Formats: sequence, C-alpha cells, structure tokens
Amino acid sequence: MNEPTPEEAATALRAVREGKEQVIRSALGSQWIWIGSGLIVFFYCTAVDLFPTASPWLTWPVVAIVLVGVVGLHTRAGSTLLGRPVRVSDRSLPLTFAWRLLRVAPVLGLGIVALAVSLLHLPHGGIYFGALAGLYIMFLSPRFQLWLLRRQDRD
Amino acid sequence: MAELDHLLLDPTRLAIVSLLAAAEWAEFGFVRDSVKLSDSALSKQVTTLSKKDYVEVRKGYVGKRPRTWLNLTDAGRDNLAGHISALQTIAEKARSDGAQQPRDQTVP
Repeated sequence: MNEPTPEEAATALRAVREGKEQVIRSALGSQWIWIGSGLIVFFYCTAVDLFPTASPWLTWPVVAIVLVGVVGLHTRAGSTLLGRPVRVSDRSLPLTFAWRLLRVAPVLGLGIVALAVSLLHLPHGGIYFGALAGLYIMFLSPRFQLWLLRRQDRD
Repeated sequence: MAELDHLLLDPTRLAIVSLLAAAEWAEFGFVRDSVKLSDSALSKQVTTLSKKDYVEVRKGYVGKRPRTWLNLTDAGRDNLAGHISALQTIAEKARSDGAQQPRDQTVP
C-alpha cells in the first residue's frame, strides 16, 4: 500500500471537510419549510389573540402539524417528502451543559418574551409575540442552526 | 499511530464516506450529486463499501417512487476516523519537517 504524500493527505483532509460542509448546508432543507413554519406560528398567535374563545380548537391542529413535521423529519421517507434529502448526524455535538443551553437558548428566549407579554397584559401582545417568533423562525433560526452545526467541531 | 485504510485511499470512496460521516443518512441522489458521479458509478462504489460493511443501504418508497438511502455503519465510522487520523499525522509531520528544515539550514 502506497502511503499518500503530504499534499495528497492534505487534499484528502480538505475533501473530508468539504463533505461535512455539504451535508450541513443541505440539512437545513427547503427555505419554504422555515417560511411556512414562521407563518403558522404568526397566524396561530394572531388568531388566539383576536379570538381567545377559539383557542382550544385552534391549538390542536397546530400541535398536530408540529408533531407530524417533527416525526416526519426524523424518518427517511418523511424527510424526503419535506425536501430534506439528508439528516445531519448529532454524534459529534458536544454534550456539555453550555452546549445544551446554547442549543435551546432561542426557545428559552422566546419563552421569556411570551411570559413577559402575558404578565404585562400588553394590548394585542400575542400578535407582537407571533410576529417576533415567526420572523425568528423564518429568517434567524436557519442561520442559527447553520452556525451551531459549523461550530461543533471547533469546541 | 492510526493506520491508513486502503479502501479509503481512493478519493471517490473517501468523498462518499466523508459525506455520510456527517449524516445519519442521506438519499442516494444527494450523494450522487454531491460527489458528482453517475448513478451506475455510485452504485458500484456503494456495493464495494457495503460488501466491506462500511455502508448500509436501505430501500423504500416515497409515494410510488422508489428511493434508496445510505448510511455509514459504526465500523465505517471507526475506519474513517482512523484514516483521518493517519492523514493528519502525515500532513502534520510534513509541516513540522518543513518548519524544521530552514532552521537546520541556518545552523552552521
């Protein structure tokens, strides 16, 4: 077996890094999934704010959609249907407390905002919260996921 | 020291395995487009890799369309990790030799 030259070894290592980057980029899937999810959150919050009595029967379809989406993305066929041909491995994600906290930080942040909105009794606070959460899901969440996945090997 | 894996010395096979290492699973079409191979060329490489227990192949349907998904086995992951480590050793050794050489030349 011929040992690769240092140049060949460096080229091979570059190919390994490029493979990982390709998977990470593709793993975010279609932009429409993020936009659709953001719109669902916005319309749900707006509907609950404007028609509080309809809240129980509005919640169940949204919970069902979220469950179908989450379960779908964890299966090969479901993921393909949702336009995601690859699932990123989380084997190399660090298991430290700081990392776990970082991964859930946006959800915690939105939870704190929701709590503040409900405690302050802002008029139409639900609509403002829905707009904030929806915009986050549509535009910032994919970037955050990308940043998180790219950062995992550096820590 | 980790050893080089002769199966992964082939750049195409290394590209396929590297891609799958970052994924839990990936669709055949995604791997084909990423490594820029034809269906038959990828199929041939996947057969080689699955015979050696590096890659697992699963077939299924999405609607009426048949689909194939590929994933790296634990053995494949271990072999790739060893291969990468060996490549890093070669690259680092060359770097440290290169850094040492100019110093050696200046010493009378």
